[in-house]
Amino acid sequence: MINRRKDYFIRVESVSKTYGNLPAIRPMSLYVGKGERVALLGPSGSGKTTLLHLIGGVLKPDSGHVLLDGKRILDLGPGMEIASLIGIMFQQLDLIIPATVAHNVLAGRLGYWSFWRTLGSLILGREKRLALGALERVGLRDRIDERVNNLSGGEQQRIAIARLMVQDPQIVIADEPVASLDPVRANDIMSLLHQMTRQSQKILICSIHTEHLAKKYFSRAIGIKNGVMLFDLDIADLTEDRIKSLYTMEDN
Amino acid sequence: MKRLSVSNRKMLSVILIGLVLWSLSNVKWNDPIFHPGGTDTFRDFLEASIRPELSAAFILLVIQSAWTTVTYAVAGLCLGMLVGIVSAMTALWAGRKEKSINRFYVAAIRIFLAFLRAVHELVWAWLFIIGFGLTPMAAILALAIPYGGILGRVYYDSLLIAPEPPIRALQLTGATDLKILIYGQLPLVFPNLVSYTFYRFECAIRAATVMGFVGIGGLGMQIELSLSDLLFNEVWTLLYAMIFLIVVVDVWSSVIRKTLTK
Repeated sequence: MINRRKDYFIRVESVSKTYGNLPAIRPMSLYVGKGERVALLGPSGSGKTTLLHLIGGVLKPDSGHVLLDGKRILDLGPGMEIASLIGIMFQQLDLIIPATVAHNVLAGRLGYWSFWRTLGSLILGREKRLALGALERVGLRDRIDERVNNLSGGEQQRIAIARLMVQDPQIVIADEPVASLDPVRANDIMSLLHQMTRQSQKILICSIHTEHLAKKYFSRAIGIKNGVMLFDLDIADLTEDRIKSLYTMEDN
Repeated sequence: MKRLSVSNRKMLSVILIGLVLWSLSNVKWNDPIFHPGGTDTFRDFLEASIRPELSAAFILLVIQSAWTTVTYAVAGLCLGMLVGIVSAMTALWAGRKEKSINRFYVAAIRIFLAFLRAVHELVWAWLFIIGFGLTPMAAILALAIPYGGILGRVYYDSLLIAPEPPIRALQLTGATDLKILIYGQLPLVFPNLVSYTFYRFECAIRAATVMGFVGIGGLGMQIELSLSDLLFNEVWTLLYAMIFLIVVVDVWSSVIRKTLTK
């Protein structure tokens, strides 16, 4: 049982972020331990994406700080340490379009490879076997040598997941990974993310707005509205009313 | 620089059109454009187009000259590519930080590339012939210098506008800027770089041909020799050879382009 705040793997301490006059995240604290699977719920514009970006070190908070495994994430430069610590999957497709599937999947190792090994992979294509395992798990092994622009949007998303698998970080953050997918695909993607983080007490944090997927794959639900944390519950305690409270418009 | 207002811009357009019309009106349209003897010669030249010289000995000469020209073009282009890619990647890597020293490095490289571009390859060829004599090196260096400047500039500009999301994704895998440059930005714009380089290859063939006029060798030299003997049939064979070369390069370029994006 974790008793002291210091022992949490992810410590988000009084972070806030304001854009111009708009407070995207009001001072907020959050503690996530190993093995937790957190669903971030809330309407668009509530600040979920900003919060995820703050945790992931993509944005610098205006106040407070984010500590991962005791280290300030913004102090960590490129390299093996941050690669093995945290991986982020964005909503927009961000693959290298003219390149092959193998090239894109192997990009997950860039944090670990030396410069020369990177060059070797680029020019000689030496590291392809590494990609095979991940591609097998996302069901795209036979497309390994195809160029990414030949793949559909759903397939490209699975390539992004394969890339994350190859990076194999302790914390996986995904921003609306299933927002535009049909129920079957959405379940497939969530199942992949689940598989990926199942072992070794990995942490998964996703922003998601599908209630049944949240209940199926997550252990904890955090509700954000207007940059404020409305609730932080065990997934079993997530009720209809709680979810509704996120989405009702209030007269302020 | 502030943009001009709409009415000012219209005014500017009117003035510019007026200048163009005025300069056109200064051309003496009444004087004959062709000089008297010229029309006959030119007609002979055009008539020879359907009767190119096709003897085995001459065809052999044409093939040898074409090969020479292509060799100069390839060597010059490759050297230019080397200069270009190294300059572009260095500039991009130096420019990744916002510090003033980095901006200075980028500016220095850009100015260097502009200097290389400033003098046309034909002028370089002329200078090098004076300095080195009629050697292949003169043609190759004459091509390499400005092409290095041109390719460097185009490569740099292309790399600079590589799309953001993939680059950000690579940053998040813990990659250093250098690795992102070679593993991300370069593959992102690679097909465009290849396309443009092939276009420059065509230009290099044309340029190498013209350099032949001053005696360096290749198709240009043969065209000059045949032309001064007024052997138009031979000139046309050589011109057809040039056209053939350009078409081959163009087709090759599309095939490569398709392979890169298929």
